[in-house]
Amino acid sequence: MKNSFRLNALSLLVMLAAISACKTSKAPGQAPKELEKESVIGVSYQNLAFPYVAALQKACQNQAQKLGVKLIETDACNDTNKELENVERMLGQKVDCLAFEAASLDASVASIEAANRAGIPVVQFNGKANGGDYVTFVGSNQIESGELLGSWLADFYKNSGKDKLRGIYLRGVPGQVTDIARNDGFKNKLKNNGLIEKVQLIEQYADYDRGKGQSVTESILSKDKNFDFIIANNDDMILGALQAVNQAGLTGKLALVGVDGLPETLEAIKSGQIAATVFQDPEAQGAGGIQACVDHLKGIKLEKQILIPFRLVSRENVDQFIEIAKRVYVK
Amino acid sequence: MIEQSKGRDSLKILAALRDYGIYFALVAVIIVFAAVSPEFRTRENALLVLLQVSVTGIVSIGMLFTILTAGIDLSVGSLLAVAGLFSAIFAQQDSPHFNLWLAISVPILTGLLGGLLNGSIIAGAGVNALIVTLGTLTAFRGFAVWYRVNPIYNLAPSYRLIGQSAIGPVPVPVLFLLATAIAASIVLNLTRFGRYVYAVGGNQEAARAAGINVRLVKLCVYLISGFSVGLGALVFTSRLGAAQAISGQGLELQAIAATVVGGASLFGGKGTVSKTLVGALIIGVLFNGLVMLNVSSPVQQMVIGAIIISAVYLDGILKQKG
Repeated sequence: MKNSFRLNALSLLVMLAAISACKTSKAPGQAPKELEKESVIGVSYQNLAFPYVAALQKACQNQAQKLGVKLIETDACNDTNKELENVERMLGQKVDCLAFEAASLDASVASIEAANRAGIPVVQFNGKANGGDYVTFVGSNQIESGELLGSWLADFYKNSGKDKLRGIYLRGVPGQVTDIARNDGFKNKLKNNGLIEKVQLIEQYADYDRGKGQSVTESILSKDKNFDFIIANNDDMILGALQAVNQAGLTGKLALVGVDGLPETLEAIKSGQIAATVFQDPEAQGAGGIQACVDHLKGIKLEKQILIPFRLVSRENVDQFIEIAKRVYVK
Repeated sequence: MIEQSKGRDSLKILAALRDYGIYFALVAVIIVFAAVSPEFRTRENALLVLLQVSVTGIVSIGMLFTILTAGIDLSVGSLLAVAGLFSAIFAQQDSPHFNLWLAISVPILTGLLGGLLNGSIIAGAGVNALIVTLGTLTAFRGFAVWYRVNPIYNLAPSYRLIGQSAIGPVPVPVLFLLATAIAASIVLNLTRFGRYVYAVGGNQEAARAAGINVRLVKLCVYLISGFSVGLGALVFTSRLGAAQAISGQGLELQAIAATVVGGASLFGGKGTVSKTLVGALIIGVLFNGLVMLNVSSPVQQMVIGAIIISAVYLDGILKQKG
């Protein structure tokens, strides 16, 4: 007993020391050194065919201009072989730091390890790989986006005045990491609010695809039009569902909620066609990634994880998000 | 005598199965869903299935022409994205570029241009269609993303009528599909060009010896495929109410599956429009019915994959016996 108590106390001490160590390292005591020459940051994007990643790129470029650093940018096109080739080429070009958005949880580790061998520091942003040494990760916790979907539903339930609700839940790609995290966050929140018994969900995958979101919703509504809401794990699927809802003559009868905060969704929230979305912030993630590279090169110590919070967007607060979207969703 | 006529009867049944087996398969799938789900067997749902297969159906018919000549068009999905973006540019409400006639004609033109590019390389340089259209699949997609990453939306109501309205109970996209099917049937069955298409696919050397301009026929089938992609892009974009650079991914596989389930041979010379439509419908009915029964998508994929394989398997077995 005594021994284990001592052990606990010891581990508590170690933990406290660790926490305070973190704190001191964050404190602005040490003078950051000035960069001697114009730094070059190599950026590896996951797939620039996605509007979100294109917005991330815009945010990186804006921040690089602001800080006066040069970017060398590459697109992995969701292909980890190409990702590794890109990274090796940038390492050959002697970049000072690598800002890395992982295309895959496991297969992207090879790229990070290549940078480790070359002695180039790695900052991960938005997507994080499961290994290799890195300075920090700037991004969002995907479970949180699911939790916000759950909080929205809990509020919706309270305000509905009904005892039971029926809804459609459109999932992304089966087995994909983000989809699993969002589902877990969402279901946990429902459980914590005691809503599992109160809410009946029809659940279908629609591959994050707008056309598939439309046809899946059409087929579900063809069987049964008696639903209160549709929640989707991304905005594209909810925008497809919106078309199906309008076609079925149910305009305004179902509350629709997505995740991402694409400009189109934000406008639909403003006009009342979509109830809410969970905003994932490409500006904070992209700018944060570049900032972290520069801070590291200046010798500032960074925490291992810089979290960019998700935020729930509804009609009341939509305007501020439209402003952000205008700056980064440009192409 | 009796024995002989029995034998003849079973041969007849076998022949009927070979010729009409795919129709029986469609009927069987429909009967199963209708028995299990009362909501499946409504007129509205039947029309919904037709609406949902309209784009795939139109593109499959174009694909059939290329497959009949022992070719293939893998670029259809990427070309659909390009044509859709070009259509939406002119369809945007409150845009200075808004012009309904351009929004309708430009995607068709884009499709034809894409088909011309495919066809002239395949026919002109005699390169394998699989390789050429694999190249354009990548190039067209790259072009779409380079041209415009963010979706084009807020499309004008007049434009959206094409994909979202109905004449009587029949959705307009279904009418587009029927018109395409009828036109394609006429071309394949009643014109000299149609006979040439089958001839080129059946035996290219014999066709050439018979004085058929094989290159011209090949060029034309890729133009036809491009045209149907353009039409499909118009219907798709107006039905979805938006155009995206990532639209149409995997469409080539759906279109090839529809033609092959419909009994077309990848070696050319064999396949019909009506059976291609039935092939598209089988896949469409399976999707609709399985979603209605709330079957999860991995299981849907297994079922649809199994149906495709068994259709091709049956076809092979019956051909051996015939």
